[in-house]
Amino acid sequence: MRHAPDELSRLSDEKLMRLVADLDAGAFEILYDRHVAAVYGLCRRMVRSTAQAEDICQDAFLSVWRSGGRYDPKLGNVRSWMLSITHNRAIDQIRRSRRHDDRQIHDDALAERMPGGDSTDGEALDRIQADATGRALRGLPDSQRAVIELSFYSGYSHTEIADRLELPLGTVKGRMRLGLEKLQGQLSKAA
Amino acid sequence: MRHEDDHCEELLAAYVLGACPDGEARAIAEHLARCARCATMAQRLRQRTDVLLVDVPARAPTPTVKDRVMGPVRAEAALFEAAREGAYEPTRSGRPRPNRDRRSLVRLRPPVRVVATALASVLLLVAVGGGLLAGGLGSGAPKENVVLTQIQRTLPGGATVALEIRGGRAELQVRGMQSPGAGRIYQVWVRKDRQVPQPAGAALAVDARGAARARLLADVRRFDQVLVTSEPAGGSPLPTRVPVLEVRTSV
Repeated sequence: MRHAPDELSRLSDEKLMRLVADLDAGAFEILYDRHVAAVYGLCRRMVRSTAQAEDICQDAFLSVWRSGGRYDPKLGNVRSWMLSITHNRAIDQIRRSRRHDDRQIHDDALAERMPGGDSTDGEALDRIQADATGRALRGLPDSQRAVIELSFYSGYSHTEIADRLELPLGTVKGRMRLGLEKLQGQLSKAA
Repeated sequence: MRHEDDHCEELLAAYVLGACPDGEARAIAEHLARCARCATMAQRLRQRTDVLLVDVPARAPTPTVKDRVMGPVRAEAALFEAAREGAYEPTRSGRPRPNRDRRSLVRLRPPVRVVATALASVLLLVAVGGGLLAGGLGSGAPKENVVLTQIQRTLPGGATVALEIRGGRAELQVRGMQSPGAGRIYQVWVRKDRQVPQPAGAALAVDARGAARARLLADVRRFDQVLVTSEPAGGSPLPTRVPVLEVRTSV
């Protein structure tokens, strides 16, 4: 039995996901409307091209639809699950692009933003998409924020970041750890 | 082991940020499976990365994205519904059985039979190498058969198509294909011996670069052709246009 749209719109995400698992397109549309801005926002945060962001957004939602039966509420809420799928898709896309035709573009862009070396680090880091940096990250020291952004949003490995910043690998790993540790504190302060 | 724990601990932040190379990530995952202490730390750090997922400004995409998502979704939902009801299984006469369920989404569009002899705009032959399909049907068949496509022609404009079959399951991939247009989707069908096409349980959602892939729910071993037609966004119970692709799965 299918539900009317106004009835569906009153259901929680978790209840809608149960209907999606039963291939209810109407329930899926409600979820799309509720979460598309967050999903697309993450896509745009991770890739610069509008077309690429829209492709990832489309791909992520179709993946949610096709794997709806695998959603497990114990592993987190629906929005987090959708955003994790989106993040994975975006990272795959970014790495594919970087490996192939966009490699030079990405490298040049990174080189421009990150001339390398600890001494120029701070100045370069200030230029990393400051406007796109979220509330939680803004409170971190630039050096920690940068390695988190470059790994989580741009898909660089720790060794790639160390190479490009001309930093010891241990320093990069340490900054990642310290940055993540401080994130929770930043959020608590901001709340 | 203490040394292993220390090494893992050092890498955990990089791991949850997705910054470890594949081999290293696999090794950490294996360690986490047997070390409760590191697994707890990883879980704690992972909660921080969840924050990063939502710590971005919300933005609305163009409305076409919703069409590109909901088109295949509605089509697939309708196909599943039709498959559940068995409404469109061809009869011996080759005509579909009437659908008695008035609520069914697929009834919204009148079925239009595709004339069996209608020429597809593109005809592709899939070469079945080394008796792969035949092998797939036999009892001694390998668990995973891969049928490599040999494209005889490509679509106008240089588009390409590939069909990969593993066991009875098939994945259709296209590149460089034109969009089906606003409010339309590419729906995938299977057919045997020029009978009425049946829904393959898949639709191709072509992205901005003309690429798409779809896994077919139908067991392709029971059929000898895979077709693609342009259909209204909600999908159709039977093809309403001549195929833009016709792929033979046997020679």
